[in-house]
Amino acid sequence: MQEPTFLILTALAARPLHGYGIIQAVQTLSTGEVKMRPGTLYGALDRLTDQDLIAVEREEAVEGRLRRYYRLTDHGAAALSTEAARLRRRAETAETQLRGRAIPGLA
Amino acid sequence: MSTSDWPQAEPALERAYRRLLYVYPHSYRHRHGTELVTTLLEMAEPGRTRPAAADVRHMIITGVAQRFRLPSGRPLATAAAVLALLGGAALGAAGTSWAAAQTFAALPTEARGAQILTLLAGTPTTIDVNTYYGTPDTGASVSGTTSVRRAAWDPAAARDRLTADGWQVGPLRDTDRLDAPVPGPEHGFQATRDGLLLTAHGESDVVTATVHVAGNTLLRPAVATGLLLGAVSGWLFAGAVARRRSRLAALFAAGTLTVLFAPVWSLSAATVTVFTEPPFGTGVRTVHSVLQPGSFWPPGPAWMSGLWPSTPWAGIGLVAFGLLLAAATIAVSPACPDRPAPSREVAL
Repeated sequence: MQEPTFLILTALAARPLHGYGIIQAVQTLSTGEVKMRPGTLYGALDRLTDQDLIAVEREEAVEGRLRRYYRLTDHGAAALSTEAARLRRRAETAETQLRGRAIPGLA
Repeated sequence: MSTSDWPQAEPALERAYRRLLYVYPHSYRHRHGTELVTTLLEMAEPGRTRPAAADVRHMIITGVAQRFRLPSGRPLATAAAVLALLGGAALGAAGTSWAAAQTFAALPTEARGAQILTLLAGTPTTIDVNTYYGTPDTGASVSGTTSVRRAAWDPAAARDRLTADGWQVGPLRDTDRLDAPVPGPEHGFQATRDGLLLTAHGESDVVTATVHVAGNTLLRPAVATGLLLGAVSGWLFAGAVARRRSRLAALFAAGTLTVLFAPVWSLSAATVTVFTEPPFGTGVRTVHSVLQPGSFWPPGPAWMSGLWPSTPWAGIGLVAFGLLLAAATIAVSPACPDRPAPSREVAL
């Protein structure tokens, strides 16, 4: 799973969000490292919808404006959970390796 | 919900964003256009009246990318897109090959052919010149035979006469035409002038000459351009059909690919020939010539030759029917497929 996908699914894990809400959440979750643009976002949302990882929850419309709220599906939640566990294992492995690292000058 | 938390923006900015939406495919605009503009307005800083250059660049790049994108998780759509790319490339190459051929020299008349043969023979006896329409890969030619009056043919003198007449004459070669009825040394050479290719052959006092259209330097770049444009068009067509998510459109698309298979096969082989055969041989090789009505070879691989009636119009007929089916593929399906409708609230 690529990082933007992981961040979008994470952003939707707690509650449904509309496009701008997802962009803001992704930026916050990545501590400013990932800034999504709308064109990229909606392409990604289409792809995730096709993969049944997210779904449209509801729409709000007023005076030619539209906010469409997306939610995580059960399949999406399972995929996110699996990815989170995989990343956790990777991080633990990295930390274990770092703890066993020889300190220069003591070898 | 109140309207106070909805983005307020300059009408000019909103109009500019809506104009930029046209870079995206129709179905994408229908599905995401309004929410994309809403998001862009929410992200715009107060007072902005024109889209930022970075936003314009981003929308153009993502819009074009959307047009090339295929729906994920549909391997059949990907396979069809690859076939459409190949088919489009072959048809594009045929189209630009035909356009380039319009700039070729015209085949000489039989009277002009007789003049050339006279020049070649020096003092000819009876001249017999005819026009042949040839096989698709050699094209038409004007060909004639004569004999030299009371002497053997002198190829060196013939080359001098042609050079004086403005022909660019190639080297003299000993030929070995075992089927020639007259015993004796055989010689031949080729010459070009004004986009025509002359192939001369002589044995004893008998001289034969064949004139083909030689083509020009425009052909290969034109075919390469047609290949590229056709490939892109084929892929975009497949993408547009795949986005329609219509079973009927999928059936028509399958029919299109099936009908076009044989002519595209032949066009592909002809395209390879254009780039691999030397420019001077038995005349110019073009891509579109395999579609010209003729009874030499039916379109497609050899094993398909018995599948349809032997008609001179088989190649061009299949292409015309295939293109008709391609147009019908677009016509029979809605441009914007329906998705399950979410619940909608209208803010007050």
